[in-house]
Amino acid sequence: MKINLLKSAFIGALTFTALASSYANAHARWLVPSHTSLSGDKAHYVMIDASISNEIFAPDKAYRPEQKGAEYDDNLIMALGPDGQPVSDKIRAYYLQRKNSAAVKLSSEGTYHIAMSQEPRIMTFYKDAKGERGRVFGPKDSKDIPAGATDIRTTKSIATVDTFVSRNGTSKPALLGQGLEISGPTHPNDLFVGEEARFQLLKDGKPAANVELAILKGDTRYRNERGEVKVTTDKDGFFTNTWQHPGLYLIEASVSEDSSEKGIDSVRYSLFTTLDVAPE
Amino acid sequence: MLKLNTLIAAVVLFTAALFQHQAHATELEIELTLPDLDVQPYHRPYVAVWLETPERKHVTTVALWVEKAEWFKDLRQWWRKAGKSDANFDGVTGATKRPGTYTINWDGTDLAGKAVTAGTYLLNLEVVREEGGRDYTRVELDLSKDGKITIDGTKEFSQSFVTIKAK
Repeated sequence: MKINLLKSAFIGALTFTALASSYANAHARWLVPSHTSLSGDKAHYVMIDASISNEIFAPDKAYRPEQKGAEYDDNLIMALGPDGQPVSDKIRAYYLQRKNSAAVKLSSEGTYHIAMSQEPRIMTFYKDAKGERGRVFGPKDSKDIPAGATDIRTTKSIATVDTFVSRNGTSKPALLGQGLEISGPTHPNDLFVGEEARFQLLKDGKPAANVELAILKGDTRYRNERGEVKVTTDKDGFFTNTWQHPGLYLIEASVSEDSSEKGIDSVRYSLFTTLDVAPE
Repeated sequence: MLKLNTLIAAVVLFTAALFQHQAHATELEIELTLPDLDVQPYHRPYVAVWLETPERKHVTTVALWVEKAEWFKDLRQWWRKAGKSDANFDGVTGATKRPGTYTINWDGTDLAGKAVTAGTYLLNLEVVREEGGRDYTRVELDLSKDGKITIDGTKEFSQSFVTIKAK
């Protein structure tokens, strides 16, 4: 598949940007849940908005449905229920130019882990015979790589874009098991101003030591300073933060490392987790 | 240090529990005033009054004025500490109330009817009005001796009083 610049205004270009830089200047991706804590006996729906935007949490670009011209995509957003299994109800994410919106039904009681469906993206970078740089989506043997290309490097990118929602109480959130993600001991739906939260950063389900995270409060449009807080995980992947203000926060991190996987030179992990902090 | 304190607290509570059946529970009389707010629209507030240990573990809920479980989550602190547990709050649940002064009596027992041991607790008060404000406060109480505590007024509740009647 050859890069079409117009099309790549969507995920492709963003993934490329993300690969070429740290999270500080990559495009942020995020989910915004309509609710994070619900009570009551009947099943509830929660609305999930998804967008690719550096203005946290104002939508900028939507994800294009996989099927060209489609109005929705049923495979864009997934949810793991309190039992750890993907929910069986269809999650239909509508394409709305600047954002995608989906209703997720919460039939069970406990915590749902809601995320963009994760599919690692493989990209190959090269220099052609004239010395010009290029890239294709695909492995080293992609036919679009011109003959005589040099400096060929293949990267796998795994992005986690997720959030948590609880109905009638909290349960231990299911892990995605792939990519970066945060885990307890603090429950992601029990965050209050003035209290310290303690999380463990996991990479492919294992503690991720010595990784810097940025904790960014939303509504960046309405202030001049982004004011992100930087924290670094300890040797067991733990980090803490005491919330200064109530609101929605985005937790960002990225890790690039060499890969021993056949045909892959490096892997880049990125994390975009949305958390809701209540006033005391 | 925290662990040690918790351990000591656990030992103290356990020891106290041994004598619990002989002790008469301390009672509380809570005089709560909901102010007459000159606002439009005005919805009667949801109110929760509950006790926690100094480590902020829910002990018992004394009053819960909210009609529908759908709205429980808006009493954010009560919901996280008490509401989302499996406890049955039917005995303390009531309708929302008009502005005025109300006396809430607590007989010293938890939701299961067991006497709460004397000691230090946190009395929590949370008041939330739909389309209005929310106020939350907690005060320390010593259930082992008589006393009267004043809860400073805020916008959503006026100055209120707690009388401790130890036995």
